[in-house]
Amino acid sequence: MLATFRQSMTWLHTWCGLVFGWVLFAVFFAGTVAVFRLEVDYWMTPELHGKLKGAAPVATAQGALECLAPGALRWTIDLPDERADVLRIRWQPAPRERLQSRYIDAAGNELPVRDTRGGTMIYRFHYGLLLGRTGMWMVGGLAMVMFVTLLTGIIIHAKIFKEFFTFRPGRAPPRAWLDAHTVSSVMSLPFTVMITYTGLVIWWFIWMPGGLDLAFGGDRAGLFREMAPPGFEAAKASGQPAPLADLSGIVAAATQIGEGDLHVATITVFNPGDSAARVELARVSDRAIWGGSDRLRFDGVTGSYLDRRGETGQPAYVAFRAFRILHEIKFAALWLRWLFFVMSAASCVVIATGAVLWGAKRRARHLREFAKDEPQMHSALACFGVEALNAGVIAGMFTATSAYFMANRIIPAAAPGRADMEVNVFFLVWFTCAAIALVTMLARRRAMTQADGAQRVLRSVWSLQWALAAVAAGALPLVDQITTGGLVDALARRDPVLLAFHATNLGLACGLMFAAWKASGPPGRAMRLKRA
Amino acid sequence: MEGVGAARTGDAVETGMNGKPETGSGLSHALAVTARIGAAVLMGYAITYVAAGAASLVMPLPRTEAVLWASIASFMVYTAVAIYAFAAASVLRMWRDLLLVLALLSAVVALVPA
Repeated sequence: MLATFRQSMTWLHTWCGLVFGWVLFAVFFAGTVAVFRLEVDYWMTPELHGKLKGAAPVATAQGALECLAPGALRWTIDLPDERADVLRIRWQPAPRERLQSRYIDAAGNELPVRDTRGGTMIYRFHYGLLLGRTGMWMVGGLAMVMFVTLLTGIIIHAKIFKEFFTFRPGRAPPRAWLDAHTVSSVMSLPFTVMITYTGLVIWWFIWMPGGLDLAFGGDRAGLFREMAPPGFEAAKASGQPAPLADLSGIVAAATQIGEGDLHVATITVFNPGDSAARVELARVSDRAIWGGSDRLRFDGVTGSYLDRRGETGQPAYVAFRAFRILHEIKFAALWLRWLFFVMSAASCVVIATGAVLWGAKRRARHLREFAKDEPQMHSALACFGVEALNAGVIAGMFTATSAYFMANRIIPAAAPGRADMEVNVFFLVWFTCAAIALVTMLARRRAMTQADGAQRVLRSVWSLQWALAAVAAGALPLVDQITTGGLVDALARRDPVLLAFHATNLGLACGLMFAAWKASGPPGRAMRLKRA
Repeated sequence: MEGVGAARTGDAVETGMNGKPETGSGLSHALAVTARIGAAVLMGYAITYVAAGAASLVMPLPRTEAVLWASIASFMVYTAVAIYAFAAASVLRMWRDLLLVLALLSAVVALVPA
């Protein structure tokens, strides 16, 4: 094939990288937001903000369930935590009936919430592009390509530490972008390798079921039943009525059981009001990346402690769960989730600069053709089209996300089908940004017959896209304030989650504004053309 | 995409401006690229799938353990095949080797009782 192994790897690296760059960027961008998906869920349901002040959640929830669902088969209480200060009760009225779900306030009153897919939509987009099983296969293929791209990237940059200290912003365009791509890659490389491989492993039974099919008869449920720690056997109702014990007392008693600082996340009551009622507490810890959870069972009438199931299982299962927890970073401490957010954002930079690099490399070649007075307009326009779309897809993702958040506030809370409308706004704005980028480039194609002109047009395309993204992010707190008074309310209550949301958005708006400003000015030394 | 699959004959390879060889052309080049991508994607999947099965069958562990370990590691196999598909000197020999590996692993799956 190519003259050397390293050269063939360069070729594979470049093409894998570009062909999948945009969707990959979208997946990583969504993954970055999804680190805080529960916090975004919270922001997107303003009806729940600040409604639990001074509440005793367990007692409140028990009271509400006794009112709303006295004869239910099963109650579930999702307790508030630092990620979302909300209290949710769920119950199953009868066998094979749909689970009911309500949010309640400190007094136990039901809180009607707007219909929204929230941050969970972004999470689902992250692993399946909202395209069902097809989308999951696409993301799986992308993850595989990403992993090959990463490993071949390591082979190309074998002298990785030397290259890390080599940043040459004064050099010709491809060189400076290559350095930016390399520096950001090396910094986030361990994280990116980890997150890509763990992402592949999470859905192995969908993407690579060879072992399951050929050695276990394809029985996925059977495999997990055999590997996972056994749950408690189902509790049977006796038919004899008996009052339920005080759940707050049970939760208080749980603090004495087991080691580590586990806290109760979910309370499930089987057969409430029956003499055979059972109470199960699911506990988690935010101190351990894995292993920090267990289940406790109590007698529902006397409130006495029965037994405990720790998180054990066969070693491979423990490893598999560790992979999943490492990827989803669900119950980790706040600083760890911020670390994931930052590293994940750096991975987005790696992918985005990789896509830009692809264009910049070819731009230099086409600009040389312009300089030689023999412009091959068709191939040049195709190449510039890719560059314009780069801007539209990458910067447009920011704009679309801000638009999705704004749609959450602007679409009336009672509008029918509003959750779908929010999602449609996201895609519509994203595709519109890509279209705007292409049209603004094509509209000025006459200015692109010379090298300087082409350079200017492409820079203005980028500048406009970053400016749009900055305006959208900058408008978000205003829209929040005008529609729900959310900003002042968050400041007044010092709600940490909402304030962090707005602070992150403000920082983002500033960064986007800076990008727009940099792209609008004359090319820096890095981007200036070498005169032939 | 210039030059892929061209440097087979042992001729001196001209290095282009990007450090890429710029020999080779047209159809043979496109065929070589397609053959390599095809091997990386399809043979990669087939070999990985069967390798996961074979490893699950021969590992001296409880079956569930073996299946899960093999599946967790399987994506490394895919990566190795993809890299080999582009690194191997000859497209034909690369396909021959990959088919051989696939046949061997399939034989393991066929012969070891599930």
